[in-house]
Amino acid sequence: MIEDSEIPPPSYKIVLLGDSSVGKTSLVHRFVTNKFDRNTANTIGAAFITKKYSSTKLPERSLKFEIWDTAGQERYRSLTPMYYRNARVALICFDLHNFEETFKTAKFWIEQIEVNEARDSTDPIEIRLIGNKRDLFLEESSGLDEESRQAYLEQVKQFCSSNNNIKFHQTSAVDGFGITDLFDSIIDDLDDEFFTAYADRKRAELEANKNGDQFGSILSSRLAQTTNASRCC
Amino acid sequence: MKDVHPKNPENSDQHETIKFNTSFISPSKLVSGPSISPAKFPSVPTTAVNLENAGSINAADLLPSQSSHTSSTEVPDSSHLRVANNHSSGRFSLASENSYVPSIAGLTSEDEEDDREDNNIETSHNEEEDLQSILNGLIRHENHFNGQISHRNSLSSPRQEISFLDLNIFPNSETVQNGEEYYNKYIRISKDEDEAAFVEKLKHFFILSSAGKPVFSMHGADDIIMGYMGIITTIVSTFEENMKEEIKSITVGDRIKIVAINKNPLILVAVSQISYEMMSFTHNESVEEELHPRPNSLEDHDSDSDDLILINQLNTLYNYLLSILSKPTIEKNFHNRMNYDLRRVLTPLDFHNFEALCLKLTYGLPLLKEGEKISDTSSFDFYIGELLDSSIQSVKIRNTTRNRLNNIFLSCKRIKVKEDDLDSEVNSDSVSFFSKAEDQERYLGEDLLFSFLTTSSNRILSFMKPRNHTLSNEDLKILFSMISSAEMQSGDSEFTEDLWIPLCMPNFNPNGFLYVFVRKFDLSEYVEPRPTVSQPLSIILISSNKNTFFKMREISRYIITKIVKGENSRNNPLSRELLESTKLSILNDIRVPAIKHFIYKLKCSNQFIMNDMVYYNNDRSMNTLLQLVYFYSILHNSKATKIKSKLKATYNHETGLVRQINSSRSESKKLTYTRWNGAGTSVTGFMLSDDVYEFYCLSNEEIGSKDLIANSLKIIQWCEKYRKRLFLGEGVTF
Repeated sequence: MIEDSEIPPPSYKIVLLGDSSVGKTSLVHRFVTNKFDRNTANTIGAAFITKKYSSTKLPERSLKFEIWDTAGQERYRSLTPMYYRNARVALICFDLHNFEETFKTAKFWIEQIEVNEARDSTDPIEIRLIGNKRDLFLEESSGLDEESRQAYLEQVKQFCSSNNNIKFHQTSAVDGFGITDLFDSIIDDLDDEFFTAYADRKRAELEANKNGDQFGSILSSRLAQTTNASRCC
Repeated sequence: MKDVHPKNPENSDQHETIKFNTSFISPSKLVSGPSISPAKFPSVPTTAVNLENAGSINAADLLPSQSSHTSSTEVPDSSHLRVANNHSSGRFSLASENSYVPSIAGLTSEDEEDDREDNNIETSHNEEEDLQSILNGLIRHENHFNGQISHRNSLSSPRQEISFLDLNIFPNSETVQNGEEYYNKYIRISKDEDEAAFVEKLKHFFILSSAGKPVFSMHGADDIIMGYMGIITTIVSTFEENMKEEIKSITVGDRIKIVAINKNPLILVAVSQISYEMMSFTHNESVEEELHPRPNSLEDHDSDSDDLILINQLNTLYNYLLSILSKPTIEKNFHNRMNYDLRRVLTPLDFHNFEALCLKLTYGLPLLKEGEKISDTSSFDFYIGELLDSSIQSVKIRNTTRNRLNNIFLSCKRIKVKEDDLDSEVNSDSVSFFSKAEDQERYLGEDLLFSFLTTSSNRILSFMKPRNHTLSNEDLKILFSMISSAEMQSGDSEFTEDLWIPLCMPNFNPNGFLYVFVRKFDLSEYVEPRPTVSQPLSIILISSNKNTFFKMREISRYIITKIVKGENSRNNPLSRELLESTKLSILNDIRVPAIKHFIYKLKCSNQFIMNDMVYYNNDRSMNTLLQLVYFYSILHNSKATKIKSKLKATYNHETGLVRQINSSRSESKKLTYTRWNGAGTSVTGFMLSDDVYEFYCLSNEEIGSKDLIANSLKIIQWCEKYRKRLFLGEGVTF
């Protein structure tokens, strides 16, 4: 029989979108390596990172996150639809500390996704709004008083509630604030059914493979053919 | 010639000449433009250029030259020699024996054709004797001139650490205490608002729009460069509109050279005060059959040869811009609005890459942060590759291993998968990806154009390309620079990321993008016992289709599996060979103790190998690096003494003497011998080339002509014997 431990965690695709220099790459690095590098370079095109992760509160639930970290620079925008196609979650990031401009871009991306959804709504993308650089936002020297901070947050809140109650997270890649919470909540918010249905399907597949009718043998015989062909050189 | 420093603009009454090199816009033929004097550019940028004083004589015109077009490049080093001499009377006026006085001799022998493939010893014996007698003649001649200095040298203090300042590579060496101070003052990139410091810098690059909007400047804050942008556009458009000519270069005495290229809607400008960049040199004879032919940057090359070094540098910067934006994007942006600000679409990383390119192209130096030390030699490798006409560096691995890797690439093109699986990118569940269904199968790698397996230092181990397409070395250079800059962030080995980079390959197709997949992996993780050093390798897969990331990722996984299969046994070839190849050293492989550094370039494939610079001075410091850059630039560029049918030795000294030796044998063999004396020691540089190879070496020990030749030939023979291991060859074609 197939043990549960033999079943690999289901993969779950996430895409990060947002203006240039809001900290998308740093956020991913904090999540994956728990490190922060002040000299992180601009992303060119996109980077694809995978990470197996179990929820802190529900450790029996784990996912293999497949994360698209995209470039924020305008000149790469034409490529972006490819990254959010098939994504389950879109993390739309902005910079709390550079609010006006980056929040505007965040709204642009949310619109883009919704326009795309309307065209092809087989698998809806869950949108989460991420306000990064919370450390700078709260700093005394940020030039913001408590009042303007509240005004910004109120603006975000209103936007979220008028857009299908988008979830909003505050994070800081510098001190790690809110980042495990964010990924925990992505797992915790999933239905039980997602996991049980996956496990059943996977178990059936593995059973079938054990009965000889498996991809492994096909793959390896195919590879053997190609290597044999090249060995004559 | 007078010694004028840029900080003394009041010396404007000195007789310096400005020479304009221009070309008619159509047809693009070169004419020599008006010469102008006196000059204050660029120290006092507001000075108007006076076009009425045409007709004053350029100093270069007075130099002995061997008639007609092809030999107009004779006496390539005169400017350099004079620069050096100036300094011996400046900084070293009290002890002139301390200054390095380079003396250069170039000669070409003409032997009967000898077949390089069969490396028989008899031929090389004859060769050795011939070369030796030629070289002996040269050295005797040199001693006649240098005898006094050499003699005094031998009495002076024992050998000491040489600083690049002692070599008078750059102007104003006497104004500083040490190399670091010099670097900070004249070389280091600075965006300060201090204009006095700005004009001191030895090298400037500007990229601006035709309307005068700055895109990039190597040094200086915006406030400073704005004025210069105005001057540049004024000069360029004046020539364009009033004289129907395109300005190419402006030479101020032999002190400053300004070169511009007009890539409408952009203008790129280089300003240099560095002697080795102002040397004129002929490009290698065009009989060279390069695997990757150079792009059209060499049109008009015989008349442009004076400016070629700087023109090539500007083309490299321009290619970078093309690679990130592509030509149509640049044109479209400016078409909509002439005063468009291109900086809007550039990222901080782009400016970082521009700065790194400027330093690499000029000095072979990396872009260092405050207080950071040079940690690898990639910038030096880059410089030497540029110097050797966009040559690429190879890694030594066994030919059978290379073939094995090539065949793995070939087999990638034969993997078939079911069409449905390709469309639904359920890649991560590879179980369902490799479906068993036989109908409607398609090739996984149908959009895969080029594949590379490289080391972490971007040296290619193996590659695959389509039958009718190729990537030029210039394009490869852009590709590798881009990948290195994208990887800066992931110094962490515990986490892997796959990159997907849209990139325009300017020589392949300046109008469109290719998509570059990059996966790094550490070979040492798959080897038992695990090597102590990590062996990072990169798989680079270039696709023509932007939606093929997951296919490329699947192919990369397949390649890794194939490479590491069998790697866990002790006799794993690739891992062990990679460990050895990093130690490519003439000291380890053959006994040539006096030769401390060498470069061997195989002309037909435009690839080269050299040993690690650490063997030269036991360090990889900036000091050593700048010296090697200088020595090799002089050695390479002085081979311009291109002599046709008869064996001839030209010997340039301060007197500008030219000597000829006749010989009955004929071949395309050339040699250059250079010696820098001073500071109680000397450095010998030697270049030997024929149709097959170019060989350069340096020795900082006393070495006789006999040993020099014997050792050089030993290395050359070794390189020829192991050619298939040392050089990449032509990869595989599908």
